[in-house]
Amino acid sequence: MSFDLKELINDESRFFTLPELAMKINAIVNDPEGTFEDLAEVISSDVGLSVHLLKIVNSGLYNFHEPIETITHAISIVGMSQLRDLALGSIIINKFKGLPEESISMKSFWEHSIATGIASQTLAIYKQEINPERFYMAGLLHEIGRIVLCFKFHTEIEKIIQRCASETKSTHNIEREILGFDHCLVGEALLESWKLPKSQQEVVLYHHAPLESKEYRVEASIVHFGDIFAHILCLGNSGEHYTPPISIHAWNKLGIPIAMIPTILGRVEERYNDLISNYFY
Amino acid sequence: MSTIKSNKLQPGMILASDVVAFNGRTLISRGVIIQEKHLSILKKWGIAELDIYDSDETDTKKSINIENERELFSIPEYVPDTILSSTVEKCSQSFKLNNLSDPLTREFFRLAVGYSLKNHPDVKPFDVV
Repeated sequence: MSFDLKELINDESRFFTLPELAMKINAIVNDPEGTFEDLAEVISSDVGLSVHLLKIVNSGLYNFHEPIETITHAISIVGMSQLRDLALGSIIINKFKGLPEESISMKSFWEHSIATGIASQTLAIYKQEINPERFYMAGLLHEIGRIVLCFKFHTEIEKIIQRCASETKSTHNIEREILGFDHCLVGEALLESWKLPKSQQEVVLYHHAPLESKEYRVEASIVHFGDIFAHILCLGNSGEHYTPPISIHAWNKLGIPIAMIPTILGRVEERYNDLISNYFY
Repeated sequence: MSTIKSNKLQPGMILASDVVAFNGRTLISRGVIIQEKHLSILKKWGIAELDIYDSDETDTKKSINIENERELFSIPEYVPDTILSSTVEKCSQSFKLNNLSDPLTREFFRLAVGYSLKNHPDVKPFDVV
C-alpha cells in the first residue's frame, strides 16, 4: 500500500486538524510581539481549559510554594512556551477523546503518553538540559501517529497487533511491512501540519532509533528512554506489545549513571501520580 | 564464562560461580546480578578476581540462579514464590525484543520485575530500589 501522508492527515473530515484555539495559542507564542496578556486572554476564553491548566501548575509536577490562581500568574511563573505546551497537550488529548476504542483504549494510551512526557522531562532534569519542560510535550506526543493509524486503518491495525505478538517484532516494523510506513512517520507529518517545533517533529520520528536523528539526538534519546521508563513503570498502554528495544548507545550519549535509574524512576512515578489525578477533565 | 578483575566488574553482570572469602564464607552466590552494593562488599573483603557469564550466555533462565531471584530483584519476603516467578516470566516475555546480557538492559529488567510486583493486585505495595 502507498499513501500520501499529507493527504491522509488533511482529509475532508478535517479530523486531524488542530482546533482553532490551539492554532491561536501557537500563533501568539510564535509571534515575537505576542505578549503575556494576549496569551492569557486567549486561554481564559476557554473556562474548562483554564481550570485544567491551573490544576496542573498547582500539582506536584511543579511544587510551587504558593497557590497560582490566575492564568496570567501561571504564565509569569512557568513561561509562555511551557504554558503553550500544557495547553496544547490538553486540547489534543480532549480532541481525540471520542475515538472508537476497538483496538486501543484512549485512556490508557494517554496514560502511557503522559507518563512518557513526565519521564522525559525528569530525565532532562537529570541530564541538566536547558528548559527541561519542553520534553513534556515531546514525550506526550511521541506516539500520536498511532491514533491516526487506529482511526484510518481499522482492519490493518488488528492484523498488526496480532502479528507483533506472533512474530516477536515491534509494531513499527510490522506497520512498515503492511502499510509501507509507520506511526513515527505519521506522527512527524501530523506535528508538521500543526506547525509544532522541528525538534518535536524529529523526536516523534526517531523515538525508536534516536541516534538516527541528525540534529536532535539528545532530545530523541531522552524521549526514547522516557518511553522505556513508562513501560517499566507499567503506566498506561500505547498498544506496543513488547518493551521497545533499548538503545544502549543512546543511554551512553545521555551520560546518566546506571545507578541513578532507580531514583529517577521513583521520582517519575511520584510526579505521575500527582498529575494524573488532575488530568482528565 | 570468564574470569575478570573485580575492578572491571560492573552492575548488571552475572556471577558464574560463588564468591568465597578467605575464611570460607560465601559472600555472593552464583547467579546474582551484580549491583552497586556488591562492589563495596567485594572491596571490603579484598576479592581480586571473579567469574562472570559472558554476554553470549544470554538466556536469563539458564544463567540466573532461580533461588536467588528474590535477592537479585530486591523483592520483599512476603511476596509469594508463585507470584514472583510468574512476574519474572511475564517480564521476560515483555523484554523479548531486548538483549538481557547487556548490563543496562538487565537493570531495566530488574526494575520492571520490581514495579510489576509492586502494582500486582495481590501484593502489598513496597518501594522498588
